[in-house]
Amino acid sequence: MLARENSLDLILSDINMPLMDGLEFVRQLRAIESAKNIPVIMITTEAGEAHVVEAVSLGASGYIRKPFTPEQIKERVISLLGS
Amino acid sequence: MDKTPNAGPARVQIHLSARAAEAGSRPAEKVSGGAQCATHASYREELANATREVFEIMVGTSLASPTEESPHFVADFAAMVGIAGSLCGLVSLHTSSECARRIAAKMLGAEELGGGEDAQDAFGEVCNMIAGSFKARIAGLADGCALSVPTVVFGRDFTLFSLAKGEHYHVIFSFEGRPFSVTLDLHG
Repeated sequence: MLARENSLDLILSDINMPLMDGLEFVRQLRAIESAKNIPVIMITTEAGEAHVVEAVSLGASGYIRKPFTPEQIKERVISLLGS
Repeated sequence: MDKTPNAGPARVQIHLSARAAEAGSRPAEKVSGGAQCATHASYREELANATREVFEIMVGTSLASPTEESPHFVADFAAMVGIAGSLCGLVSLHTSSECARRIAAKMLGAEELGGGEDAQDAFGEVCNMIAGSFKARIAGLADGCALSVPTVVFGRDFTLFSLAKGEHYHVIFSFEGRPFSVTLDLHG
């Protein structure tokens, strides 16, 4: 809903969430015409290669494993949006 | 509105059990040889290392080595994350509500927090990250296990009763002079 009605520059999303997990969220987001190009960075404790591959295949733009430093977030955001 | 937790009207017994991943989730793979060979000492050590990493990076605190003593403290704040897949069990974090609020406040960069949703979410997240970091440290678990979303329990009158009946590991640290424990209960 938020993505439909607002112009978002970037979305940071967890993967392990109640009700809808982050992978399903990306899948649904990419189906919305106005939101399909919004960069999405997944932030998660799930460190496995399979999660990264699945997230990227669904359209995630980046992946950061928790715990993370503020510098890691900043670096990834800059790489996606520019400084 | 920040609500302060209370003890609740009656003693609650919580039976803890991690089960296989839900339908539709990634099938579990067998743990690789490295994990099968993991010793009692390495699980405990990696649990401690995972805790240190999370506190150092996310809470901004370098924890001293875990204590071998078991100090008495009222653990009225607990967070739990289930592990299911090639390894099944539960990672839990126990401390006093005062210590839990301090950990949460420091992680969120706040001066002080009540015991309400912010503290509960942050404390649950700390437990989640410890479980994730532990999983990433054991060969074969990163892709072989899934983590549940965290559950947080508070109040003075509850008992956690693990159905795992398997191996049990725990480490006790001190945060700003207040003890907290991290436990791993594996299914037998």
